[in-house]
Amino acid sequence: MKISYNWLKEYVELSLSPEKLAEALSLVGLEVEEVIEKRLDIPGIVVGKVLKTEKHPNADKLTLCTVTIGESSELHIICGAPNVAEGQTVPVAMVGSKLPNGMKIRKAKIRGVESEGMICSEEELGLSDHSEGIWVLPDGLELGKPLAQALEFETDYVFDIGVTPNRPDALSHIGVAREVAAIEGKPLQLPEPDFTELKESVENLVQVEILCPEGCPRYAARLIRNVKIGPSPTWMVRRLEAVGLRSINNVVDITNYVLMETGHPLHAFDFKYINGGKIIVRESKEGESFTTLDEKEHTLPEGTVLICDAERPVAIGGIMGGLNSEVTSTTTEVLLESAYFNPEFIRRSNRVLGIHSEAAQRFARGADPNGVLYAQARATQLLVELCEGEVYAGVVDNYPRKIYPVEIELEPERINTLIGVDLSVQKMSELLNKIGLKVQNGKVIVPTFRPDITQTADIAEEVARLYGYDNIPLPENTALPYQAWQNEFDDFIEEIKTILSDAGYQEVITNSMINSQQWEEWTGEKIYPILNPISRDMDGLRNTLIPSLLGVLQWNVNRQMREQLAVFEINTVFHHPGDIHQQPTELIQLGLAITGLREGDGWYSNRQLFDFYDIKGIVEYLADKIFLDNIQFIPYDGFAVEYQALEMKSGTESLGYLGKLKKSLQKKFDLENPVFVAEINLRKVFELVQRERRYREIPRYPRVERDLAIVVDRIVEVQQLLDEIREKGGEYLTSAYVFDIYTGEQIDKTKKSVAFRLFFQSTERTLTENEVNAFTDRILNSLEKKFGARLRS
Amino acid sequence: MKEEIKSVQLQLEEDLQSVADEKALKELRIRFLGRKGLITNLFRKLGEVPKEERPLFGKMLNELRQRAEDAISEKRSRFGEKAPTDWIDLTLPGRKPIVARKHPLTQVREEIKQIFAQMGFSVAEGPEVETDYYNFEALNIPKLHPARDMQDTLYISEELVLRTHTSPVQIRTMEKQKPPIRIIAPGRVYRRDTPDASHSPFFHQVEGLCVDKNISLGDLKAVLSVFAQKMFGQDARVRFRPSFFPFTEPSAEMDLWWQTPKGGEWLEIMGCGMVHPNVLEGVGIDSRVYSGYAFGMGIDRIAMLKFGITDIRLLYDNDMRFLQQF
Repeated sequence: MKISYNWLKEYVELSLSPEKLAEALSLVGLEVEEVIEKRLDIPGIVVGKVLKTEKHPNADKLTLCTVTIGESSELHIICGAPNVAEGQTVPVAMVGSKLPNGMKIRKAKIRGVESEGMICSEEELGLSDHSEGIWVLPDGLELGKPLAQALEFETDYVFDIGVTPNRPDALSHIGVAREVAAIEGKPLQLPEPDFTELKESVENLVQVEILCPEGCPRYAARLIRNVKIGPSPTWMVRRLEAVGLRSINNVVDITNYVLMETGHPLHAFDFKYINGGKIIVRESKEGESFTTLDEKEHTLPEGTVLICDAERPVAIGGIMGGLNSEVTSTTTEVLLESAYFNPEFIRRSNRVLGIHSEAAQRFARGADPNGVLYAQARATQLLVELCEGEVYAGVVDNYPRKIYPVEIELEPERINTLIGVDLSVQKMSELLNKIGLKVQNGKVIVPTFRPDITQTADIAEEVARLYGYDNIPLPENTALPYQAWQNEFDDFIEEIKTILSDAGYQEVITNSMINSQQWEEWTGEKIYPILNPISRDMDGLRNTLIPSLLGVLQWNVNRQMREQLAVFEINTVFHHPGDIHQQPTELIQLGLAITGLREGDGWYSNRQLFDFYDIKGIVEYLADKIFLDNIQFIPYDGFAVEYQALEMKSGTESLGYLGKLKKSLQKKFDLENPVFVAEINLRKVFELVQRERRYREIPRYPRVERDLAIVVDRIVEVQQLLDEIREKGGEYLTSAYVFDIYTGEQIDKTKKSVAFRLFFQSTERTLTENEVNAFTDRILNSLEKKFGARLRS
Repeated sequence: MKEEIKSVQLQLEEDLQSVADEKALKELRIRFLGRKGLITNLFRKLGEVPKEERPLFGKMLNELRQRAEDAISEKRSRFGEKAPTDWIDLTLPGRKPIVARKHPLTQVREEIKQIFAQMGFSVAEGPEVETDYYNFEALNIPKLHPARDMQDTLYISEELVLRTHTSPVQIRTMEKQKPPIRIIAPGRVYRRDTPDASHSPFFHQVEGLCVDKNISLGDLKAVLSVFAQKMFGQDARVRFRPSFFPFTEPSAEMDLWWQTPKGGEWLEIMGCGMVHPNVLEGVGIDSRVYSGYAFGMGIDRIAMLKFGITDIRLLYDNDMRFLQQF
């Protein structure tokens, strides 16, 4: 909402400067987003007259103008605006002047012809945001006079206020002035409409019938005759311009002016088009259509409030007037509508219609049903003063559903508790009174222009903001509940992030909205769709993190960071429940992806690429760090990985997978080096983590070490051998691991040598050689039997 | 005598420069420190100088001998007898593990979590795909309410939305837990915004909620002022001004004073207010007995302010040259 500082002065005495007032308004809840300076007292801008125009010899779109500024000499000015013409009075920026946008006017050659100044548009002079051409001034101004003086232009400041949806009352100058009066501690002074009426009563000429009192609780009509349509006076044009409205003619301007003054939308009908002198307010029927004054035809949703005459609709109530009855230059008799429409009805209709008129915006938020007559009288007064109108006596005021001010019990204790202050009833009453809320007999009487105030919390807000949020003291301490529970899962996620980033994996965060067609193709799973996506690339919710991570690898490889990339993300994935009317299954997943050189490309790097054991290693490392015991890896094929791939399991529960990325995906993302990925369900892992720790005695007796090198077929898996060793190793086998794998010249091509290191230890005594030998023999026998293993010689 | 010492000193420094191998070092040692070495000879001559000057020259000579010994042993460590295996180029960079970090948004999230944990808040969660009820209705935003226009919503169906804020977690928490309640709810939210430097269709918020007896707007101011100081430094200045949210009444906006070289300005940091009685009653909490405050802030915005990031898209490009700066 744009509010003019000069205009405000009509209703309240201002002592604060525009800047100070802007800040003060923000602090009472009317946030001033910008203060726009409107001034014309710019040195070197004067009134001029275009004497002659001719085409620029070297440029089609430029005009050479001969301009007089009242002295004997003439200026030659080149102008690019299409609307420049001989005989126009125009603002001229002389050489040496400086425009508000910072542009300095110099004598300059434009396409070979000299220009001695500039003819300005309103935009160039900082008066409007956009101009179509130069500003053509009214004739008769004194040539050569500084523009501001010639136009009697008073410098103004326009506040752009971000009015919150709960404050329809602040969508007008009087509404804002009420807040200013409270800030300044001065009275609010409202204009008192005053005009003489004809003897003849309006009631003989106009009838108003409301068939839908719920949608339109009040409709008031006045009739004004002998109206002279013409331009509005300068002061009114200026004020409308200041708040961003264009002058159309005096009648339309008056309704707009009163709208900006009081906040109440009005509509002027050309009475000669109102058949039968009848206004009938009814709800629209299904399929009814209507053409609004902007020449657009609308199919109306059922139940839209329609203003009709005896025969047909003439306006969409509270939203926009009709083309068939609008005021034009031939209008002489005006039916002036001032009504109140139910916000719910306006919102419901306009949700379909989507007409963003000033009227619709205000009625949707809530106008003042009891401000109807005031706004109408104010406009009538102006119609008399500015259009020489004659007013029929009286108003046809149909008000079938009377709306009364709300009364709310004043609860000082609750209000003080809610705000954290200790104000007396008298102090509260004083504060509320400043903005028109009277306290009587322990009750707050809320005027109907504040439909947002319905209960004690609302009263508390008024008290708090008028007292000043800044004045509310800060308590020094607070009572903390003893039983605060902590979110262990959230802490667990943080811990995982710490472990992985410490291990050299960079955390990334990516978009959860993805191209569902692509992802369905990749994952072979139905993607949970978004109904109104921003674009096709964000039309569904992802079901896996892996392609997102591949995207990150690609981004960085394309930017020459290809040596070594190791990333992870922990985020939500969504699984389609089969029915879009159900919420998806949301899982917190960990995704990992690596590609490039394991040791980077520094001087000590062995220049080996990441391989399968790196991704397996980081997963095992993570499991060890968080005490995730008893997990198994089994061969796996998935949408992302194959051949070198494992599923991670605990019992029958699948926790995730890891392995080498499929060639097809690697190619899709243009990744040159092999990529290895893993994806793990963290909620499941969290539930399996062993949190209890118990001390086990550190053995006091020496351990016995045995190395066992055996030769087996190449395809025998080490895990099977280790399982067998552990089973046959007996109670004293405390540890067994592979310390060497050999294939090559010294053994058969189909074989490999695997070397195990075993440790035997007792907590009670030193083991003898013979005892240990018995175990190793048993192991060897078993390996020989089951896997055809031979001791390597 | 003085000149002689000086000249030997100069010669020593000069010869040290040209020593290239162990043999030359050995020769140099003999030349200066050997039995007939230059320095040794000077010591012999010390007896010839007057008594009173002896301490001075003695001191000078001792220093010279020390310098020669030090320089020789330093050189020897480079190509001495054991050197060929020991010598390494100390200027090469060390073998270090890969340096990686948490995403800046995670760092800020964790910092926020910790600050509020110290004030008794624990973390609560809710789904990202929400029902219309939790995202709007229960927060006092009925259908057709003008406040729905404030946020452009991404829908799944008529009744399901991608949550536009973390506020639904307030409702889910109050349904499960009776006062006293003190929670924060960090998480991802969505808006139907086309991406540009200051908009992303998804971003992150932290919701806060405290419900108990006698909770006031003053408490809200206190908690958030402390937060601002811990997040932005002891000197952080904040102000509160009235605002509007359908689910709080009174409502406020917290601004942070942001000092710039040209002056400074108030920046909107978060929306907050006292939980609306309709919201409390909706989850069965008696608004005549209990009151509470709620607040919500953008993690992305805080991170951008804290680190001086000017384009929100940088947070989601995941360019290593960006991520490794934090």
